[in-house]
Amino acid sequence: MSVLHLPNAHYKSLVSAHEDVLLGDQISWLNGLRKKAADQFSEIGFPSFREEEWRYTNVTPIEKNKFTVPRESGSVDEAFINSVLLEGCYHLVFVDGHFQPTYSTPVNDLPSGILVSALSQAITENEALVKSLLDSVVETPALGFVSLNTALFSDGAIISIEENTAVEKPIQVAFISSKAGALTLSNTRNLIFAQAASTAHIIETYHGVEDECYLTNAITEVVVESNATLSHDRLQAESSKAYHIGGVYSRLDDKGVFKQSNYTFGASTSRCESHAILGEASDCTLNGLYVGEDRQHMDHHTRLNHAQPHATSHEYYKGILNDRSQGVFQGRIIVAQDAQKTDSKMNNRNLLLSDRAEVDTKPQLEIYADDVKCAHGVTVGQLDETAVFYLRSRGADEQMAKNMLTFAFANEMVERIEFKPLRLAVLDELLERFPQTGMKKEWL
Amino acid sequence: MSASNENLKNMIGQDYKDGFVTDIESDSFPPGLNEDVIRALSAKKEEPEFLLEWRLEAYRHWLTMEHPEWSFVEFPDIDFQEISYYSAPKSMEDGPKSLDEVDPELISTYNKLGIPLEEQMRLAGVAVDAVFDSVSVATTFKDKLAEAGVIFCSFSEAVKEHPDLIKQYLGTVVSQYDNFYAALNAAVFSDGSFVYIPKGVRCPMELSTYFRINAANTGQFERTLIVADEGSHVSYLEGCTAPMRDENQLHAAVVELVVLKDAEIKYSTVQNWYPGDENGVGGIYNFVTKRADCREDNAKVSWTQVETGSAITWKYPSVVLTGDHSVGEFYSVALTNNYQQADTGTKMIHLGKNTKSTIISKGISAGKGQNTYRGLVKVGRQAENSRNYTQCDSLLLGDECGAHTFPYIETKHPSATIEHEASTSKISEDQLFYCMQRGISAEDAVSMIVNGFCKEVFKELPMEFAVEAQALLGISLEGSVG
Amino acid sequence: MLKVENLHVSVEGKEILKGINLEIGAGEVHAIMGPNGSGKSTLSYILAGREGYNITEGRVLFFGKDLLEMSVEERAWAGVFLAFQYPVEVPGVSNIYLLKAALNGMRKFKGLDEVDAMEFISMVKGKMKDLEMDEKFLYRAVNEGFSGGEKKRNEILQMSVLEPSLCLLDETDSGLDIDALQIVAKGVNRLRSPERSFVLVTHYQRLLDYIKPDFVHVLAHGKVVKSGGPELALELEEHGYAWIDKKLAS
Repeated sequence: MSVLHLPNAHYKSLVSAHEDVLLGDQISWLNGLRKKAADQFSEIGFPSFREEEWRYTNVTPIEKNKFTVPRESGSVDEAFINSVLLEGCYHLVFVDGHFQPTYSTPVNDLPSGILVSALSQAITENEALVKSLLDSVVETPALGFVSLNTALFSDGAIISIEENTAVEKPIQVAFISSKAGALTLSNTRNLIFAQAASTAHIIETYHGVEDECYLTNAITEVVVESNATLSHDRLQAESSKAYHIGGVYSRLDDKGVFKQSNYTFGASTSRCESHAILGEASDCTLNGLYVGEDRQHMDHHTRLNHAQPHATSHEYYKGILNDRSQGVFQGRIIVAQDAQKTDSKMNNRNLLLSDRAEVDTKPQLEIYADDVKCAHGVTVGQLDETAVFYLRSRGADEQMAKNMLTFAFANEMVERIEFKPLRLAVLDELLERFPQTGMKKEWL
Repeated sequence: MSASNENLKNMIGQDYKDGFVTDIESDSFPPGLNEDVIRALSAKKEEPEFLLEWRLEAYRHWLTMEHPEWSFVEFPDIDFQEISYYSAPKSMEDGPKSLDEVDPELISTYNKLGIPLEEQMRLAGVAVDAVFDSVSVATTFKDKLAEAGVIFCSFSEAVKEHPDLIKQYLGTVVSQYDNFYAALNAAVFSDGSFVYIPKGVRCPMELSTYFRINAANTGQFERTLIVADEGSHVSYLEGCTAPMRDENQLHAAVVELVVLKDAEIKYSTVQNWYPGDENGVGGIYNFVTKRADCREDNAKVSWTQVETGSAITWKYPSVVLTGDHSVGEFYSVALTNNYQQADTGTKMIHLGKNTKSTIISKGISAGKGQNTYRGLVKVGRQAENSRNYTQCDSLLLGDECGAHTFPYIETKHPSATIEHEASTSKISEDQLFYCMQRGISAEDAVSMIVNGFCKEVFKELPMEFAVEAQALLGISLEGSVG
Repeated sequence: MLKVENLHVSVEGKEILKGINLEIGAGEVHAIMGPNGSGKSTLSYILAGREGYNITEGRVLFFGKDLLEMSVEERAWAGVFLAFQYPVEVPGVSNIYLLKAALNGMRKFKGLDEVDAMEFISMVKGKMKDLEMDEKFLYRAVNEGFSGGEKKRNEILQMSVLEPSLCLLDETDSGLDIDALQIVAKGVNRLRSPERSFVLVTHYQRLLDYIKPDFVHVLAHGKVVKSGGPELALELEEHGYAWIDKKLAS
């Protein structure tokens, strides 16, 4: 059932008014693509919570806020930028959706075999590559936010790893909203291309410099070619008043390996899609951690589309909801008729810490092949009583034992992060939310 | 496709044994639906004014409703003006008679279905209400039940004999506005069963309703209402069959269960409506709203269903756990073969404190069948210490069918403990080889494994039904695997 | 130090302990032996304060105080330590985090300041060395992915850091090869002192080759059916538990 929810005049004028000032406005194919997306957005608008996929997330406040698109970036304190950049990475930095060469790794400092650049530069230097990747993976073009992004994206990262190339350092792409970015809408688009047998690690991070209300609408398209291995982490630490709509759409060719992890801490309302189309014998891992407090609303939707045989996928999402926060998880595993020997597992675990918190979870299996192993499990509930007893028998009082185990519940996901600077950054976010545990970073 | 799949395909050729037509003269309304039809229906049943008004309210609301599209089943639009909303054997025209006066043709129909209504042949310990098309033709053991204070009769009779009870409880679990098919049912329901178990009474025998659709172009819209008063207990069974016809027929029933303090209802269904032929032609559309309200403390409801029939099954027997310490259970086996589609499951709505629910669902898909589990577990703000355990397993027989699992879990209390597990598997070559090496035929092996897969549900069924359910499953999978 | 008087315990209506009497003085080592299902592990869980047991009769005094009235952590602070038969895995909680939280909890109870971080680390590292444990265990999640021997050594490490008065060792020898058993026994023996008592719950005699008990009690059918010196363990080893039953019968 499609429930149309037409955009108001403000957003309609937004998508039509910007045609001549956007990146690549001289390029006819791109203009055509944007025009089509703008028309589509005018037609379908923002999703309504009457739609099945949006039943737990209401985006009408976004519409009411009448966000505008910033023509240029506001200024951000250098110290702030440095505080969000992870050590030991190549960097690309964007503020209010616009590229910041000053803080980004110069091309000359990059190793050979990789392209790490802003789309605004690549569109002139590598137009063919941009054309081949853009809008090539997104599975749900009918989604209003995707159309809006395609119609309006101001910039973003393009990362391409040549065949048989292993990039040793992770590549961090940081998106920051400045104070001037208040009440604006940043549309960014990232294109990631891991060519055959290449290896890379990409980290996307999202930050808000002030406690401002703004909207991030960020889409990443990922192609993992044969035998390539790509890790992709996404840390969302937006301002607590912001809105964040994100999506990672990936395609794995045969024997491709893709590991995508989401760490969600920020924004008043956030929604993140992680969709993968799996080729033959490919391997996909989708992990996530969401920790909500106050009135935060955090929604994660994943879709593992097993289109070919012999692929494996693992999915593990954990959530902790405190105060009046609400967590939403929807995971869908689809196994096509030809996708025999699929092995897919999905797990979602949640803890509610307050009697005003809520979690809604919808794990789904849609299976059309018979020789498959698919399973999902969900828990909502209390801490392991045996573990509480064990800690108490060691002298931790009951509250302390529970605090420790609550922290541990989340920390289990953090421990899986191999790259230490990222692990510590995620841990910082976690410790900020659980100061009472007395946990120290150096103990990990 | 592997060799075993090929064999499996050949073996899943099912034979619908209850597909005969009873040649009996019927009094039917012409197809069509409007307020006059409802007035005529109500007049025919000599209903009190309040019930006619209730029907009309439902109808007027139904006119404003859209047909729901969210399920995972596909079928062409139903033309509600093409359906006849009342059909009854002519011999029943003068209302319910004593059993001895029932048309022998009807008695023999039920005999053929294995449900003897005659005194001497009655199933020991089971009282039966037999519903044929739109009317109840007979209810057995009424006198014996009356001794215990149990009311068990057709809905029409209850409206006449016990209007206060009907007025008090009708529509209190599933309102006449609840959903599209429930509203339609409220407007046009023709008969069904009514059960009232008084305080503290443990119903001395199993109660059972046997539904039969016979007439062509007729929809069956029956309504069942069971009220279990304080501290009472009843086990209720229902069975369903229909002739083989090329056109689809609609069965849109409503079942309401009201469970008061410390009472328990165990409701079992073996649904074997005509599923259509191997090309997907014909068959019943089984769109049913079943819901129980554990209205007071320590109430318990257990739904057990074995769904092997119908072209499309679309139903979610649910429990609203209002009372503290109330318990809801749902055990289901749903089998889809050929072009059958099933979208079934349950809703467990935890409102009271210390409420507990268990869901065990076993879906078996064969042929081109599509089998969907859809379930909701909801824990409200006040539902302290509520618990749910859900297990949904799917078994795929063949590579052209589908098995889908769509649970919804909504939790608003930190003390809730919810566990949901789901898996999908097939009968492994190893299992088959092992059984066959031990001298068990492939058919028996499959039947054994499928029965093993369903064991947790079958054990919840009353004895007679468990045997029937196993046999049905065997027939539905006849000839499967090698 | 510990006095168990006529302790009756049932689980879900079934009586598991049927009147246990036991007195343990400071510095003593007691071994409690018995066949499977005799209630050995139940006794140690009861003393540590695990829920789920119904104490129908009797009392337990620890330094003259009613132990059964105390919460799990209060018992730990008072000096009761249970080395678990199956140490619990706690993913996400590092060993050092647990040790420090436990030690500071205990110090807080005694009115002491939190331990100095540097001193703490070097103290723990020293004890790990004694137990031949790699320092990397400090930063790993508690017991997660540990081998059987590593888990038991970890229990002894916690014991040596927390310095309890009463150490309950529940089937500490189970699942240990002979090398690991020696290391664990050495760790325990190092902790022996005139102020500290031990209760070794075990099925086999072999642990007692390495940790010499002062007293041996045989638990069967929920009762202490025989008590004696170390020689009792050897007798049991020789004749098996059936011998006890036979003796009881005669």
